[in-house]
Amino acid sequence: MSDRPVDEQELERRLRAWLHAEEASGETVPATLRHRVDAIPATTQGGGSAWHRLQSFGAIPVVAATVVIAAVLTAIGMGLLQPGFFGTPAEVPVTTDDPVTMEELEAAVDSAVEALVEAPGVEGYQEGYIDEYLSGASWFDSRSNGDVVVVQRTDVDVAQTAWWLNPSEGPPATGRNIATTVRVLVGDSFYEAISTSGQGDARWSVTDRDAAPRGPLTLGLVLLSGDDRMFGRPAADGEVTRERSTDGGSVWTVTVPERDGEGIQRWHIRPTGELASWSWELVGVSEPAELESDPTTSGRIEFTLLADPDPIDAPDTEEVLDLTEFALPEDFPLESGPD
Amino acid sequence: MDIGKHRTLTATDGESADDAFAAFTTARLDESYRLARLILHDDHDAQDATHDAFVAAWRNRRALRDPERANAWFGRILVNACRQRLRRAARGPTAVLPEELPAPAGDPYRHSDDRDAIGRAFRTLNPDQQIAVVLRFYRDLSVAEIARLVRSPSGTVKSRLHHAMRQLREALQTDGPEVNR
Repeated sequence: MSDRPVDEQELERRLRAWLHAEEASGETVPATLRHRVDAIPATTQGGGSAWHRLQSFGAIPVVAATVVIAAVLTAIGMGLLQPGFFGTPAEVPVTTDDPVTMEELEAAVDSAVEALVEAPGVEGYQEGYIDEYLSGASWFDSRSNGDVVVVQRTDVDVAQTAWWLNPSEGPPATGRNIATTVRVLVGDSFYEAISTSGQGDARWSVTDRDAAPRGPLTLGLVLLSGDDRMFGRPAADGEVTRERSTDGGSVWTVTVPERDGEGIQRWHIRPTGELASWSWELVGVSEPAELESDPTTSGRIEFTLLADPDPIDAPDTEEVLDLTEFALPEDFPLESGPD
Repeated sequence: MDIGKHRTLTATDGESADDAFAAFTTARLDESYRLARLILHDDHDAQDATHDAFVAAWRNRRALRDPERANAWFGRILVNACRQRLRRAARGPTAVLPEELPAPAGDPYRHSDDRDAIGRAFRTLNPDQQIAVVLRFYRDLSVAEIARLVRSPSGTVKSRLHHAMRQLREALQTDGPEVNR
């Protein structure tokens, strides 16, 4: 052990020397890598690298469900969607294009997500259902510098009581126990306030930004950050279609077998290239989800590109949580019941 | 980050998309692989991350509307590919590093205990710290440039570098002799 302290300049010098020595010790680009990269235009159409490594079959909704489970289990409040919610005017497909492949779908969605990532700001709304019951809803407002506000509401009786194991009985209650979590990342700080029905005012806690949860703050942000993807692998017997939407964009649909029914996912891409929404639902599935499985039956996320957003302000930690400070949608659901 | 020459993915007149991509990769492959190798410290992971970054670039080329931003755009894709691999590795089983790491043949530092000590110290940093250190002291990027690349506030990058340097200092004082001064 050395007794002599290492000062800043000395450490920097040693680091630079080490990094450049490491670089010098490395081999030049291996021929195999050159060949793999050269082959990308020809091979990617038939499937990409990471994509190809996941060639074991599985329904896409299962992969999506994994993402959603992570969101729910980390108390993020992603819920599950109601069957048949598709059909907002802009999303109604009106014409059918030529047959398309899963790889074309993947490329289109990646590009549409990238268009959001490149934007100065993105606002998102997501909600989910278990059967016909709304289990959670989230709204987020993000900036390209990483600052973000996330407001999440979870119906605890719907999302966390495993009632779906006996679905005929329904959840023990709805709209009674609502947990609201607000998380704000601004600059170097992470703010959080959690409000539960009947528990009175919620206060802000503030910590270093690095103390923020390493996992997703909300599913929509996970997708934008690249920490996860909307789909992980193609299903061997999945069917992909692309249709023109009434707004001039496109709607891509994937249908795959799921338990005793089907799982359907849809992506709506605006004519300007960015992703407008991603949604999925189980259709004709009568077998209940297992206890350890995600009970989600449907869900959606909508994205809005913000061209010139205002900076996100830090909350006043001297004050109690006040949701009116945030530009929540007027119809943001699951408002807390009376205290 | 200026990885490679100012070559975009946009096909020029008479050029196919494949040709444009080939020119794009030719201009960037060497430097991208070197950077990935420094961040990941594993030849195979560096190859995979570099490959994945170019695959992502190919798939997303239509999203790149401003050719002037190709360098920053691809730099971010590459760093993100490396970061994902580092984070996966951090979540996975921890590899036990041998006490004495074999140095590659022809390495002028092969007998340097200092190199081993810094290498061991570097590997104790978390993925975000490792990336910040490589970009700062190998690529000589400013804090603001790193922040843009990793999509984090400058303050966060500054904090990562500060904590990384403190951690490295502590590790070196405990572990490492310095040679080749």
